[in-house]
Amino acid sequence: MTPKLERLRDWTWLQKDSAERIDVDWSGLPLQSESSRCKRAAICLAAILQAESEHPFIHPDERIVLTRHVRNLPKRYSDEEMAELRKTAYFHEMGVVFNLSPNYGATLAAGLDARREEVLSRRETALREGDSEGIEFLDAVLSGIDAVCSLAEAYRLKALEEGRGDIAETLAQVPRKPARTFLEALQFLRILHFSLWCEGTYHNGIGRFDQFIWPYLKADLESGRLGRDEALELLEEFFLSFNRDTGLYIGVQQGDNGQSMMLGGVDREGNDAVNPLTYMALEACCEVKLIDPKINLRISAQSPIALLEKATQLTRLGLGFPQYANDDVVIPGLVRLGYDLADARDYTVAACWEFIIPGRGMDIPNIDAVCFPAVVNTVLHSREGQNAKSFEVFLELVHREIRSQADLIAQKLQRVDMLPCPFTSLLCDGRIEKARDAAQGNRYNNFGVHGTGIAPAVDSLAALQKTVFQEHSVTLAEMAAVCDTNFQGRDDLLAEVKYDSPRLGIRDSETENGVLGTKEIAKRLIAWFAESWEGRVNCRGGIWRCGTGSAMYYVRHPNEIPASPDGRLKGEPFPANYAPSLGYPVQGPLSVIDAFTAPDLTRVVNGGPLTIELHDSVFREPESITKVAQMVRYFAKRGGHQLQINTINRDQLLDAQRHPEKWRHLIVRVWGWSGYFVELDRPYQDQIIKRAEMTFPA
Amino acid sequence: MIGTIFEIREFSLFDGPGIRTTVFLKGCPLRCLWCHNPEGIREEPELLVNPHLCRKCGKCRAVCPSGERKESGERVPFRGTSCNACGRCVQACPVRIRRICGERIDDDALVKRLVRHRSFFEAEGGGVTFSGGEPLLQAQWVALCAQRLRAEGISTAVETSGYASQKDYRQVISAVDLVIQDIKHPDSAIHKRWTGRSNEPILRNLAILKESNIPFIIRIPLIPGVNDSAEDLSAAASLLRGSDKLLRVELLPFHAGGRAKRSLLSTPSIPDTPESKAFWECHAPTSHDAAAIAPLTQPQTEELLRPFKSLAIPCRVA
Ligand code: SF4
Ligand code: SF4
Repeated sequence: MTPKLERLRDWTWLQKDSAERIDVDWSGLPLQSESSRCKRAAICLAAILQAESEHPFIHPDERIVLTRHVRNLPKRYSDEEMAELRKTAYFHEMGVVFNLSPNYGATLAAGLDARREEVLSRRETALREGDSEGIEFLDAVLSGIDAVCSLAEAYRLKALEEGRGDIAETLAQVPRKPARTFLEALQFLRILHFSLWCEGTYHNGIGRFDQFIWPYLKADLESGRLGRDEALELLEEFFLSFNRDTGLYIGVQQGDNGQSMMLGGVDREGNDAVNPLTYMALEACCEVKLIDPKINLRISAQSPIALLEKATQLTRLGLGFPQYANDDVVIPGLVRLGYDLADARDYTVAACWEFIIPGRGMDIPNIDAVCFPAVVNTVLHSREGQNAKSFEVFLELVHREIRSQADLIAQKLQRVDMLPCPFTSLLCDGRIEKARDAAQGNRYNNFGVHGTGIAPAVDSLAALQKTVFQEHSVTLAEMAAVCDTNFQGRDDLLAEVKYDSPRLGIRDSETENGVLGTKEIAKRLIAWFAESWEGRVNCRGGIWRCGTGSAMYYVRHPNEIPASPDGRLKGEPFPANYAPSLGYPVQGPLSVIDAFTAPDLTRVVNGGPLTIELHDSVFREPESITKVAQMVRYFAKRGGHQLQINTINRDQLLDAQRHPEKWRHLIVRVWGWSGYFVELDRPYQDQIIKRAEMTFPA
Repeated sequence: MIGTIFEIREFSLFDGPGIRTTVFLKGCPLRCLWCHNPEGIREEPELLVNPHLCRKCGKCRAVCPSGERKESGERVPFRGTSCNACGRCVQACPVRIRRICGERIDDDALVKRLVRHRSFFEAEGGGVTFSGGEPLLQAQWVALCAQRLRAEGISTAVETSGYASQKDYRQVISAVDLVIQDIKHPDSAIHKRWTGRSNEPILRNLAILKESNIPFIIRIPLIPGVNDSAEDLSAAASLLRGSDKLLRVELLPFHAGGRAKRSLLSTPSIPDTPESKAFWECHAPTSHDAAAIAPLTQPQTEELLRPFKSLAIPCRVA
């Protein structure tokens, strides 16, 4: 990084929690009297962007501008109003649009003036058709475009005032006219991304950045307008910009802001689409070393080792990314769910890992979760379960319970609504043409369901098979009671299930003589999970799809059920996402990969990465980079869908808990995102320390 | 044919090319004071107990068939005085802080376990490394297993101190694709003082290795004050003159990890002598000091590598 960038990085770090931001009193906004949802959205966006344009700020070292000055967004609905709305339908999370990946590329290429023309002409049609709802929506879009352009203009004037002709020149072109250069494209993207957050849309993914930005960079490099080093510096500056306002973003924990970026993969025709910007983006992240943007990399069994090595350099830094997605599994998986092939090839991730299509998805990919250990627990505590005469019978009941969980969730979510996002809709394909907000739906309106604790559920079933049905050392009713009393007074049984019974990825057993192996049990659970959602249509006309992610449920669910038959005591955490149970010596990552890729993962493409933790000593030799890269490719060859490798050092984490002031910059992977360790709540910190105990040394 | 191993570790990055599975063989003729794997020294399986987590429940004592319980007095956690590693107490312990270190396994079973990762080795390289302990102490068995793995298309390596008879040595090195060998000290008397054995067989075998056509790596564990002087390293370097197949020399910085493991063993495999006590006094007075040893600086590293570089031997500090 250049000294200029170093300074910007330091400033970004301070800016994140800056006390100099102002709070605005929004009580004067005419919201109460406004019944149109779209208008409320437009009023709020115009108000915040207006307030921002009164305080443009340009850092002397930056070339790409836009920094939030106002801390609080106007609230479109008061708490009471929102409570009323929630009585009419289910509003997920904050009730607004989130977790989507806009089509930035099209607007960068067109410019907002052209987009305004498009909206205006569509408004003519709506007017002719007497489509008042359409007009309301299109007016809100226009208001958003105007507000965004005025903000950019305020920055342009400020730049002139400060003698920054270069910035003024960029802003004279974008956002109104099409981006022509790499710098203009990045500045334009910054403006759009910034505006989405202001509209209240959150978990804003960046999408396939190396695809829609590469043409600009390519043209600059080819014409000699830009040298490689300067391009890298610009890119790093752009990456820094994702970090300066994160203190204001919505999330379960600090850092959970969904600014995911997808690199690599194939184009819509299926051609390899890795380009020099793919590599440059990985390199920029290695230098910037901050938690945003959160890098995802699409790979396949054919990925060149050089690309995987570049990505592993990033893993080595312990930033908790890149997260890998395997085209060989994800694309067929999406097609199987009914996605168009070209769309499937264009996939990216939502906030964490959920596979969505940029510009076309208006999914709610985290609408609910099935907790697998709870499923086992329910069966174990049922009269029918306790009467099971064989393990197969017991498993069949588990199969049934998985289906009834799906019934329950589907029944509960019959009316789902969300608040509109007119400006965000401008960046979603076909919304202007339809004259309808993206909140009302887009090409894909699917609901995604997470699956928590798959490995502990497999382990619990394996333990029941062994103790109850093979060794007859305990009955099902006794085991249920033992779980309820948290294994009190049953140290012997606890030790037996904890240390002697098979575990997925830890002590795998093979299917032999009618006894099911761990991988076979996992295969079945995943197949049943997928089956339970097949053929269901959701209330927004989309489908249901399931995945192996856990989101924050891995910390919530363990407190909701008693101890498990695999010896997990009440409250002891589940592993995050798709990973072996915590707290056991593991053989090694290859065994883990073998076990966790045994199920058919094309069927769980709501996503959720297999997570492998490496001790940082793994990287003490330079050739480790190649070796870990080979492991990643092996994962792709084995048919894994998504992979997350974390580099951690437990001693460091413990020290950070004791001396947070010393470790403010320490980055860790939480569930689908990276954050600063010291900013996490204690249960999340503790879970990560437990994971760190299981790191693989080399 | 049966061999005795004490661990199979599947993710070894530093024992040869690619990601390797390392098989640790039990038993070693040397007694290096700094030994990192003291649990690998004895040839027989043995009981290991990690005393820190003991609940003092006495269940181990209750099941132990070893007759001399009284002698062990109230020592908790308990270890049978004439313990033959029967393993009963391991199952009885509710927190499983006891384990039997050492497993007798025949070549069939071992090969079966190792071929599990063949798909990885085939796709991405890597293979199996025999380490220890001293694998050459079970030369025939190691050679047999290596040949069988070779027949399965899996590449093999051996990591050895080089302390073995010529016959054993030749048998094993001709069965593997890579040899990783230690030089602990070039001088025989000093070697004997720190490891309990003279280095004559080692140097003789090194000569055999140099003449053979087998690629090899030399490792020197740096022990402060024992073998890290410029003089000692120069002497080691000159032993390596004229080695066409030498891939590189690796200097391994000292760490005191072996010290911490000693408390797991029932009776120390390296007896506490005044000399060993003095060694640990100055190298790591407590096991916690293991982590406190400062990493080498760039000039120090350069200094250590100089004797090898001056002979154009590829080398590095690990
Ligand atoms: S392993 Fe040793 S201590 Fe344990 S029961 Fe057997 S003889 Fe007794
Ligand atoms: S059985 Fe285990 S916990 Fe109990 S006294 Fe023996 S070693 Fe300690």
